[in-house]
Amino acid sequence: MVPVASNGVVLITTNRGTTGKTNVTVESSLGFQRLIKKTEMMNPEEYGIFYNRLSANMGRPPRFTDEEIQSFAALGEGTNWQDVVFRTAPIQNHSVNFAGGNEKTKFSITGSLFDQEGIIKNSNFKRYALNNSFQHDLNQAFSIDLNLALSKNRSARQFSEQGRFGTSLIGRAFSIPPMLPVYEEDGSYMEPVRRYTFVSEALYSPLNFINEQSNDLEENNVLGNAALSYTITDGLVLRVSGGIESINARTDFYQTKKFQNNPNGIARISTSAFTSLLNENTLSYTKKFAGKHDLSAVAGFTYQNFVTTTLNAEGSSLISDIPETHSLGTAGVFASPGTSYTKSTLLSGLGRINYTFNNRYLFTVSMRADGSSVYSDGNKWGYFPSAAFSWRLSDEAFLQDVTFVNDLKLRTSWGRAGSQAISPYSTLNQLLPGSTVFGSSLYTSMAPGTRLASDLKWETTEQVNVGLEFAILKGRLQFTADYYRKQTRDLLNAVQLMRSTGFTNSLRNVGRVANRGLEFELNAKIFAAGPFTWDLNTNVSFNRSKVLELYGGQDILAGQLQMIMFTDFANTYREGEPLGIIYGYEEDGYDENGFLKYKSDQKVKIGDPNPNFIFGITSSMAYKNLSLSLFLNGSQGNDIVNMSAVAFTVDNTNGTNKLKDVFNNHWTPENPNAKYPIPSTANKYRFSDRYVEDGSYIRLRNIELAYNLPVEKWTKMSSARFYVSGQNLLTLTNYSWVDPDVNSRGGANSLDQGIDYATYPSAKTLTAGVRLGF
Amino acid sequence: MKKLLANLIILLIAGLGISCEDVLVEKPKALTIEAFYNTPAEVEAGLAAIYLPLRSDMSGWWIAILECHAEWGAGMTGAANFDSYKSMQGLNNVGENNLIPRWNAFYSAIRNANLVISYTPNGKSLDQAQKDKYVAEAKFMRAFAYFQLVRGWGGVPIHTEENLSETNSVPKGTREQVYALITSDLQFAEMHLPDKAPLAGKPSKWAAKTFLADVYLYQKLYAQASEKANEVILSGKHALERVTVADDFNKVFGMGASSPEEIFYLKYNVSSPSQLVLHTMQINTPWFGSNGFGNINWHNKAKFYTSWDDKDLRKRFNWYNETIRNNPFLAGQAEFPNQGVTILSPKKYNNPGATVETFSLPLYRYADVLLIYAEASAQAAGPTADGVAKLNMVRRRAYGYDPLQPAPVDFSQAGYTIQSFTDLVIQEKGYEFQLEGKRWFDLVRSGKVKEVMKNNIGKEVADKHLLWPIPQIEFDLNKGLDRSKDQNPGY
Repeated sequence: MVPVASNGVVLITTNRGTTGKTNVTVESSLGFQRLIKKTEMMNPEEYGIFYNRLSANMGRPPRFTDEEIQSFAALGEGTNWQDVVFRTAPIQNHSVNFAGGNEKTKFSITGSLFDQEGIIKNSNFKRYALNNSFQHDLNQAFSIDLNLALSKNRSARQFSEQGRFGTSLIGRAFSIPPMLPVYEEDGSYMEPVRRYTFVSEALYSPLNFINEQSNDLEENNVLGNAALSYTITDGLVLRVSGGIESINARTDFYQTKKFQNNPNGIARISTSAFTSLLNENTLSYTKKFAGKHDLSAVAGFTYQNFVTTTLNAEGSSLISDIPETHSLGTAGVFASPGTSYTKSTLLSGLGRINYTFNNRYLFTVSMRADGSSVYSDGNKWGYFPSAAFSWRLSDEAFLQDVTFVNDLKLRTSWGRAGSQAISPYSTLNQLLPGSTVFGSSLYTSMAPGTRLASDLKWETTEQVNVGLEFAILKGRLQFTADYYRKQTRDLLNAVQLMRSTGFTNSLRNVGRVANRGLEFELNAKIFAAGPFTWDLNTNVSFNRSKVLELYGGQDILAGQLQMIMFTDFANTYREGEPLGIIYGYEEDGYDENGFLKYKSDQKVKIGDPNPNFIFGITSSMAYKNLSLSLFLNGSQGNDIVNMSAVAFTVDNTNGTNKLKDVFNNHWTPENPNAKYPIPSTANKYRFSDRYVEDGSYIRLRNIELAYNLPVEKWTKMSSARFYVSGQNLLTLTNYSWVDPDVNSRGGANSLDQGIDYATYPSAKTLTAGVRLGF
Repeated sequence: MKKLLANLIILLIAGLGISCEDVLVEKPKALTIEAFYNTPAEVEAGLAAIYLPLRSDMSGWWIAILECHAEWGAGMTGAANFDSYKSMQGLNNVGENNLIPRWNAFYSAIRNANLVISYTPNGKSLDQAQKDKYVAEAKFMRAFAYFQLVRGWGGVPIHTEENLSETNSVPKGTREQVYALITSDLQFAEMHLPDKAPLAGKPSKWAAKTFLADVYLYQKLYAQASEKANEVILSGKHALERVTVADDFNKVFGMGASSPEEIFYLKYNVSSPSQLVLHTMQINTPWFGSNGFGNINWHNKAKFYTSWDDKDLRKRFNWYNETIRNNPFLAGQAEFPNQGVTILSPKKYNNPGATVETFSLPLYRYADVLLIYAEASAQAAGPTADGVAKLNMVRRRAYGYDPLQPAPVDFSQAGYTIQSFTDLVIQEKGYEFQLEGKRWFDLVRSGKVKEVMKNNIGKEVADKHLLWPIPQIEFDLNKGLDRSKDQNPGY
């Protein structure tokens, strides 16, 4: 398989057939998931008292009378809206695999079913998949190889988008006042504003989203690849392959006529068809000569295209809720239908030579040229050479006497790689259709979108790597160390534009950044000889980054925060500093009235989203047929911009419920050093260090206890494994919001880093399963 | 077999080599700026895009924000989103932030106008008259967007077709420079726009003249303002709609209304509705089929209301007293005595049977022309009988009389100073244009703002409240601005 993406090799692994008896493996598991952590909010009485304090602080009469507060107290904890939104949800996974073959033909067939209910009510994900692989040797010279993966995904999604003050579905789990019942007496959804108009009208019941909106995605995926290999002479092989990837997706969005304040209903259907065709042609040569020289070389070229078409239609004012999206003709009002087409093409030429002398010195040089349609004219081609050398020192005569060293290898490499992770037509000034009204009819409008096009070229990363591997104590202790330096030039990213241009942002080659790092891995077979065995693997990675140059010299601001009390940018990219530093205002306690003070009107560094290091520990223990394995990982020293909590701590503008902590620990004359300022809407809020928290954590990602029943002794079965496992059962962290393993707008290529903003939270899962072999 | 394969490879390589560069050229099945603005249909689509960002914003938040600044909106504290507009003490962060999308919408319209102004003159299938007409419409709309900006924020960065490619640094233009651009755009527009708008919702040359009269008035160029307004009056193109009972005002403001009074409105339909009800009406309103946000309300002892003649049909049409519901929110307000009063709520845009709003947003109607003329002619040369007559036309209609016949409610023909007559006109505009987003700017322009607010709601207006702060994000991203010099006073 020739790597498809220039930025790292994409490996596709499939089950392969075996020779001899046909093996059958059946696996089945069932589990339950629930929200990783519940958050303690104010109860009804506390809510009432808090909002009365707020009114008093604002010089206004109390919101609630004493009788009302007493009636709240009688409600105890009131409605826990987290329970209204979240639930314990089952997850199950079943698969069966048949693998077998003979000297000339091998096959493997896997069928699987995955069914996950979401921890947010009325959300789920189902996947049905069939994976087939087939190899056949026609004769000495020709062989064919076929891989085919078919799958259907179905998901019922719930919006997890953000809301400025707790108005997302997830936000509502925390924001709705706790003394309100879930339903009104007539069975309709509670609408908080009808009881208390100081609660924003936008905080209507989350059940509107859960029950009165559906957003279902169905995807059919085909991934097929067929290759013909022709052995021309001994060691010289020509391989021609063709592949297709096809994803057909359809989304059905429906909002019923019962949705709050919109009695008309909305039906929206959008479809997309993605097709990628791939052709790879390689000529490879391998030769071993004079016993000590291994030579292999590959040359080839590839062609790949990516085409996406979309179609969407929408109607509202529907006659009835019954047909949902399936009878769009019943709509009274139609939105303009939309269609689109995009295509991009990638051409590559590549060559690689590996030479090994005496199994001791390994040399590799390679070169690839990639042409991508997405870049500007004259910048479409990128050239990416690389070279590597490794030296197995342990095979050298001078180390033959050092018997405790079992393996010692030094590796070094240098290479360049390109990134083409941008959308087609990013360099073209496209116009997008819309519509406006004149008279009483719709008229088409054409204008640019919010992103300004600009000239773009390949983002290139040059990396140098030095590594050391050694094993001692008969291989029971293996150690690996790597050091790398990377420099990325012409970094591609969206930069914010001043809004008076009419645009929001523009994709640009923004500058040069450097990363350097150390990675260590230690693998210890603590107990190697049975009946008790214990393998322990630990790894730790340190990375340091730096902005070397920003074209234009100006800071780049990213991670826009649009809160109701302030809008600002979380991340600043500044020459000479690490990536994505968090700049904001430094608080300076409270003034004599409990209002926030700031040390200066200048922003300073208040956080760094980059961890000092990340680490993982894997432990596998076995005693006879019983095994216990666990996997821990974590991050140390990274900061998180906690925007999720703003609406539930300091934003007093919309009547949202608050953390119990706010009730107990806000400013009063008696508590002048409280965690939270005086309850008031008159505080002058800014993006300050208050919102930046240490995001370090250690998490027990997975723990599994398994028992292998020795069935082969009594039956024709070859194996039977029973297991129970738990995911995310334990997290140690000082981070206050739900999940420290969060990056709401992240992705490694995003400039927005370390932001937590009403993200769909992680789940704790308990699973039991069985795996049988026949 | 070997030979066949070898040939195949050679063919493949050769074929690929030839087509390599061609394969990598992007051929989008979409339209690009450089290849657009060549035919009437293309330019008209480009023009339509100027209206798009303004439509939902102006019929919703924009009106709500401005009406919360007026004495009927600012009387009582309310939802946090609007509290600081009502405070008269300058904007807090919330108020400042809620204006950013409005700022963005105006500049988005300006960008789309600049594209039409820049590309249309080179349009391949357009004659000179078409080019002039289209550029005139784009300039009218650009002026319209800048007019909102300059009244709200004062001097602002000026983006025109001349600096379209500048994305890093555009300095702040002074208030005078912005007005100069607006004036020259409108002078071009009045020259080249058609006598009759091709579609309702598009400007005619008379709309340009009306708008220009208003712009002159804001610059205190009263002679020019009066002259422009008079051109529109003398043209006879527009007239006041007759009203005999209060509900007849639905002929001007109701859903689907079309009247001779209409000069320039933004238009909406069921596919693309307005948000006037949502942003001006009550949460439980009997006057529409869905709820409003309840941003604007007061009680029936409000001074603007009690001092207003009950016989004025506008009073009855624009407001209603709600006695049914006890509103705990209002009860919790210091300004709301909750004893012996009822809630006063707006209902100017009403239709109890409808759930989708298709009200047009009135921007300029004939009443504007008459009242601009009345004030400007008086300011320029002292009150005249003609000016009083124009004022009386609006007043007569409001009381259900024929605008062109003398009526018992007429103001007397003489005996005014410039100031007393101007006050009279400003007061009449206050009644006439309620919930049309005009009151605040009119009060600031005329210098009456502090007095009117003090009289009506007992609030002292801070100087900093008169101009909104330029959004911080503009300072963050526009290197041509210097916050210490360019931010408005008090922020």
